[in-house]
Amino acid sequence: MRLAATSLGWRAGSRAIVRDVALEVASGEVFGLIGPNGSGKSTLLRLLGGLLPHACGEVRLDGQPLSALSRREIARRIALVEQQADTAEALTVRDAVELGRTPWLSMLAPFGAADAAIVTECLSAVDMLHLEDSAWSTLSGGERQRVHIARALAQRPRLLLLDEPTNHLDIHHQLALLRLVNRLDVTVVVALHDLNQAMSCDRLGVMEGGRLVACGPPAEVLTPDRLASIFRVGATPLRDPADDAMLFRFHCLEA
Amino acid sequence: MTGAAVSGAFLESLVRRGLPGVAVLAAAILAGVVIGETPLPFSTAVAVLANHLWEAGHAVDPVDAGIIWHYRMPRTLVAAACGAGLALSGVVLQSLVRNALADPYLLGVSAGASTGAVAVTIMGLGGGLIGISAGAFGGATLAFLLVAALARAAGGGPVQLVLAGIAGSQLFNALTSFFIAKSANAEQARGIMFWLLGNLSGVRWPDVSLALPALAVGFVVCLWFVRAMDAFSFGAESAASLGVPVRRVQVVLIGVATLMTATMVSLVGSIGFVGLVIPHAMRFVVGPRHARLIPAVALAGAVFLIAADVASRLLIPGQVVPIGVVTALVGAPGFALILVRNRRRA
Ligand SMILES: Nc1ncnc2c1ncn2[C@@H]1O[C@H](COP(=O)(O)OP(=O)(O)OP(=O)(O)O)[C@@H](O)[C@H]1O
Ligand SMILES: [Mg+2]
Repeated sequence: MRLAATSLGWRAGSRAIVRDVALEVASGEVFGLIGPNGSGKSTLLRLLGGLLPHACGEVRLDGQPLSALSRREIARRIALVEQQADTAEALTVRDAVELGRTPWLSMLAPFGAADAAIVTECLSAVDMLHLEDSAWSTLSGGERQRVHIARALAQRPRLLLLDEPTNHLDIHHQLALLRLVNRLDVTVVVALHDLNQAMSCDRLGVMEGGRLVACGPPAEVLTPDRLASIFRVGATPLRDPADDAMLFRFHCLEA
Repeated sequence: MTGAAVSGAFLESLVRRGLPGVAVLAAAILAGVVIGETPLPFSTAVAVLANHLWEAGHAVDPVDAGIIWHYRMPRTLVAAACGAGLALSGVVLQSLVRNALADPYLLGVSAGASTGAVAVTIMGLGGGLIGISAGAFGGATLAFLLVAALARAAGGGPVQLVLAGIAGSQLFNALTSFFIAKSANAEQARGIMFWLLGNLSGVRWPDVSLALPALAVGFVVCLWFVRAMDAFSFGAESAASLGVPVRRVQVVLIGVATLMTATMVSLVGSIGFVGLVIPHAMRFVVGPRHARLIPAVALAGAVFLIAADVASRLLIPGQVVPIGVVTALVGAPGFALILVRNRRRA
């Protein structure tokens, strides 16, 4: 699904949190959003999902404006994994993932065997099937994050918005998730802090102070100058002798 | 799966789960009718009901028949409707504001309904059952909006909501007292004070014809939105991203919760703790998913309030304890338990 956003903006009171962002993501592309804390990545993701009131600008999916779709129609196309979402309800892991089927169900189309199969498949995609009967409150941070991702997958979206999906995961599950995301036949916009992980995206967008200040293939976007000015780190590019991939070693500039 | 197979399985599960519920409810209503200061045998009660429902023509003592049909039957039905309605209101509020302590009584909705009902009664604005209920609905809506706005302005946390509820309850209780002091004569005042504590002794058939429709509307709307309420588990924004039209669902569901609370308060006064304790107990039994929780809560609320009404008639021989006192005697310890359990989880 092709995503196009024009002059997106959102303000909290008088403060502009996201300003004049224009963005195009091709169908099937994995687009990474990077930027320092508070630069507006999460806000931009929520804007792309049509979740913020009083937003400026327009988001189009395959040419269709988001504002012309109902919430339910949007939820059948876009799934969002938030940075932090918690519950006090005594839900099980499977309950939480079943919520992902909500936009597809109605009085006349109740939860059925096909839905149960999708839930099972999504649980195993994030390696949580063995914990399906566990209570939400007993899960570790990374396990919760994987359940959120499974729930988003259960929505069967064509655009997946992921807000720092790897930040609680162990290294195995980080790599497994990034591989899963790259393999899925959906368009992905993912906010990331690990710039080496960001290298595996098709394209990157750099946020700073609510603006999208750069956009392009990772190797072009992540220049030493930009890393110094926006992320305030020095970076030494290295090559992995195994596959000649480029990666960074970071060091403090102030020190 | 074909549509016919789906609806067939749906009907089957409805019957399998619904029938035992209906049986329990019928047994509770029958018990509510036969137990009392003058105990009456089951056979008499069944005979009277059969006479009225399908003109069976059994011979029954007319005094017994009068007690059963004109007093105990409407009273028990209204108790059941109130219990179910207040418990459902509790579930709705807890789900939408994501707060285990949300309940029409604690959030000041009941107090607002009382104020509205008393204002209409005393000032003689429109009078009549419908007028009083409309006044209660207005007061309840106003109270909820005030409390919600205050909680939001105070930062929107769970503690802020409960504190705002206390402020709202105090304000509306004070307003009620003010109206009574200003306009009611001593006799009226006594009657109103007794009604405020929750009182079913004045209930007759016209009350039933208000309570049951209000409950029916609320129950059907709740059933319609079970998935939406589930989707609120991870917050309103998460519900929106799952395709729930958040604003509309909030308005409709809080609207019916307020409608049920206001109707019940206008009929029997303000009865506390049902909306808090019943949903929590039922989450233990059937789990947090609303498709099962909503019917379970409606049934348990109805049975609980019938039992409370029976207890209120028997507790002190020759005297009726206000039903609100009975529910508070059971509910306050239940509330304490919920507080302690919540602390352990946090
Ligand atoms: N509802 C809001 N009201 C006021 N300020 C807000 C609101 N939402 C976000 N902000 C502010 O907007 C800025 C951007 O927030 P956002 O969460 O988008 O940043 P981010 O890039 O995702 O940061 P992080 O890397 O820490 O996740 C922050 O300074 C935040 O304080
Ligand atoms: Mg963020």
